Amino acid sequence: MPDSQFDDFVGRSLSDLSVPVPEGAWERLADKQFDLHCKQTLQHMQSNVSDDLWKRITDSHFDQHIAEQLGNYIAPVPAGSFEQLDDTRLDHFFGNSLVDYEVPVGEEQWDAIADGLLHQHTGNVFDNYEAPVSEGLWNKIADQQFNQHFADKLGNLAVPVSGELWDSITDGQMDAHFQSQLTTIEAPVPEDMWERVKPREKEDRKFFFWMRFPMAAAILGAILLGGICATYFLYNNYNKENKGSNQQEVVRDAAKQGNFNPAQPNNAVENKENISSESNGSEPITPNTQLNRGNSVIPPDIDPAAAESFKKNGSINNGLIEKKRRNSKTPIHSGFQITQNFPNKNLLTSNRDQDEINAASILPVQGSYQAGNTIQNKKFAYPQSIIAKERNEKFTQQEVTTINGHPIQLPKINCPTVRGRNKWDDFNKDWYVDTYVSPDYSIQTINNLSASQQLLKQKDSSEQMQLGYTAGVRLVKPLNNHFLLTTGLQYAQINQKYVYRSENEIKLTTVVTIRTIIRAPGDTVVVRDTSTVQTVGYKNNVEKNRYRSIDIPILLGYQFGRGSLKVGIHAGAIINVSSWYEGVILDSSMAVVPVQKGSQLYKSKVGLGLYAGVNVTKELSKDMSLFVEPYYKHSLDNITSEKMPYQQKFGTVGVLMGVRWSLNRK
Amino acid sequence: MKMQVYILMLLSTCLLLGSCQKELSGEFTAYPNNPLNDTIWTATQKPTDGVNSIISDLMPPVEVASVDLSLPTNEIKIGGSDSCRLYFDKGIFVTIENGVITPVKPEGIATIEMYRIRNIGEMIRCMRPSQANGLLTEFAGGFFIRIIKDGKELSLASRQSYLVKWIEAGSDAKTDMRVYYSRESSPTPLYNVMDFNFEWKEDMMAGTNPIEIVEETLSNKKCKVYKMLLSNFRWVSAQRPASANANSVRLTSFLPPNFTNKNTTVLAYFKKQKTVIKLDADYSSRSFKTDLLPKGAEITLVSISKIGSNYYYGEKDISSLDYGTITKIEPEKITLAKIQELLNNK
Repeated sequence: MPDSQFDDFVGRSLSDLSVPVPEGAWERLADKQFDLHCKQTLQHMQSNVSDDLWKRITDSHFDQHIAEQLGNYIAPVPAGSFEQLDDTRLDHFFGNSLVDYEVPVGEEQWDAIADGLLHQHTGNVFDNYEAPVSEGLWNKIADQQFNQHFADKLGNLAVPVSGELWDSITDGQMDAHFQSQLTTIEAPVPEDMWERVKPREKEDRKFFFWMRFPMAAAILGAILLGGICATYFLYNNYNKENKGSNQQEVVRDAAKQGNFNPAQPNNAVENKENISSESNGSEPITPNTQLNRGNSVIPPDIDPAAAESFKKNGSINNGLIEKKRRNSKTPIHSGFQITQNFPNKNLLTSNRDQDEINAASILPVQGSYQAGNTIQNKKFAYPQSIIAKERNEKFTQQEVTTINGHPIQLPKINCPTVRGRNKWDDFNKDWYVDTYVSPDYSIQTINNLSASQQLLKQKDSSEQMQLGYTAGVRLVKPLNNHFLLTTGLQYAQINQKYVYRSENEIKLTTVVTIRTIIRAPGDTVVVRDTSTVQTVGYKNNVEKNRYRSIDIPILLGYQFGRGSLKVGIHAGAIINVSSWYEGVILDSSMAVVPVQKGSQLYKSKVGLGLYAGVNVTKELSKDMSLFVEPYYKHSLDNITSEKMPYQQKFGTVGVLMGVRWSLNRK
Repeated sequence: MKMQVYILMLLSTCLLLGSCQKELSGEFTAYPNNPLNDTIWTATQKPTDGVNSIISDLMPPVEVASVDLSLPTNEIKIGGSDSCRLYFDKGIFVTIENGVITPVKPEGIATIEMYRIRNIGEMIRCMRPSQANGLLTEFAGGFFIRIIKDGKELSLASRQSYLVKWIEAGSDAKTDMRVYYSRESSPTPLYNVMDFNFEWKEDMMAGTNPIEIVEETLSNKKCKVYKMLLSNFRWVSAQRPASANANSVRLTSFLPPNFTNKNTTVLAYFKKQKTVIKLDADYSSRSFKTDLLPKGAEITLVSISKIGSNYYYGEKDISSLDYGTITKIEPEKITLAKIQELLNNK
């Protein structure tokens, strides 16, 4: 009988039969026999487990049992089960179940994971994850590894800089910053670098963009004529600046040697004075305030315990850019990350408000740090520019690339020959165009050569100076913060009223006369007649004499002032390009004769004149200013030719009123 | 941005208002005392009025010759072409001082001054129209004759006369001519000064046939010559009354307002006879008129004006004068020489 038949028989016949197991039989039954039996017999049998039985089974017993029984059991997951399981439930399961579970990862497994997958995984999972760095871990990391890490991770990272931040940085600060940082850095220039740079350079040159306008024709002429002078002055100015930069180098060297006194440089003093005066009650930054740069904000002289506290709290962590603060309001200055959160309030800051920035938190600290130098950011006129200026002036490349004594290799920035291009950029920056008009009043000076006194007397009594005007366009090039070079093209017209009396003028008037005529006694006729009545008299004739000229002013100005209002003086020469006269004059017979344009009686080029004016400029925006400039202009030469019996020249006073447009700034 | 534009506009407006003033046109002022501006007529003419100086400008100098008072007869040829001769006998001259004839007879050489009226132009020039006693006359010839001795004007002694012979220019000699002398103001003005009291008076003492027409040979040519025996010096003439006075009509002429009776004289002359009349100024109608012209007459109106130092000349032809003719003359500015030329051709 096969077993199956027997089992089937027993199952059907003895399923409800209960037979007591003889005493000692269970002990004699080996476990494996029992297991095998149960497995074979009860494999498909399901029996209800009573509640009481479940309660008697402890979790550990159950877990142990499951682990023993199902440790190597791999059960297929029914189709569709994974789809029904959402990520949170799975994460929750794994988080709870595998939190302490460590599995060694093989070397080949790391290599198999693509960087993108890892970045995606870690970016999503650990974006807001704060992990304490264990003590001594930093010391284990070699500097080279740290630098390599930043170079690899952040080398191509670009962070947008707000426009307001750029505006707050002055050109000089930026240039000085790059010069100080990149002086010794040599970077290979890709072959196509210039091709990529040139179009952008053209777009930035708003000066040439302006050439498209009709006004550019006048500007171009002024540029060509004034260019030589401008270049000369700029060259001189450049030489002066080079001397100044050499002096700055000396200062930097002194700072390297630890002998740097921040109170000595003029700019530093000025900036500190500004800070002190505008901090509105906050404690001024003392000359001993040591400012650090770069990412690290741990002052070297801070108590090691406090520094340790920093690390434990995990707030600043050796200047690492904390990803969790990527979206914070902390401004990023020139690519340098500024941290704000300090655990020790007493030591660094008393307020974590975003508007209040501790000087030590945003300024690199060197040497002794004085606590309590809290400066409210909102009270600074240009806090970033001041900070940048001071840190550029005070610290050297060596100091920047060192954190806690560990050198940092900054990522290389590939810039094509910065110094060479700055000359042209400096020259091409800060061009202004003045468009102006001026009501003028001129005073003429007559010098008699061979004219009769009667003629001069008649001329004097007949001529009355009238209001004239000047209009023009001129280019303004600031040589530095105070000196301006100005040239352009202007048209001036001097008006003169010439009054003379012409005698025996006949005036015709049409009248209608009515006459009552008696043709015969009792025969009366009314005759209406239209006639012309002649009246003789004199006429006061008024002619306008116009002296017109086109001039090129070449002026040097000195300007000073604070804020949007500036005052300056302009002085220089007025070179006459062309002049002509139209009007009437008295001839030797005292008759009034007209003089047309091109007459040989007046010069076509007057020559040189002198100019002096006081300029008041009110800035309306960064692109436009209004200015008023009272001036006096004196012609050195006569306008009359040798054919005239007298010499005549003019001095003119006026008030230029105009608009100054910036060509390079938006 | 709007505010900035407004500022620019304001500045531009200020500049325009300040420097772009309007051109002042010449302001005319009439001379207060210039005669041209005087368009007012006068009820009573004054010697200083411009019209009275026209004659002085138009009249040529008199012809001058010498008379030998000791000779029995002096034959004086004046006027050229041997067309006029004067004959003075000895002892016919007296000197009158303060209205009394001096007893001493003038002797020696005296000077004779004479102006001859030969044609229409000279009649106009001397302003001696051919009208007498309110009637038109026709001229045959006229003379201004004066004998001066020692600066004094000589007169004819009582019942003495002198002979004038002349050939009429431009027409044949006419019969029935009568002798006319002039009545002038006292003292007698110069020959070239307007005399408001001048008028022709027929010399009733000249006899029944004072003017003869004789045929003589002058310059180898036979001519009809007037022989007129005169008993007066100064303005004398040979005239006869015009034939058509019965049907006279009024002629009225007016001019533009600049021409008034103070500066303008208007005359009318016949085209076919030596008759010139002067139109009277009518103050009420500011016009000139005459009632002496016959209806149907072919006349020419002439206006001569002197305003300041300027002359104006107007002319208007009337082919047939009608009843109550009213005509306008529009004078034009002209030079004195041109007027003389025009008058010479009339």
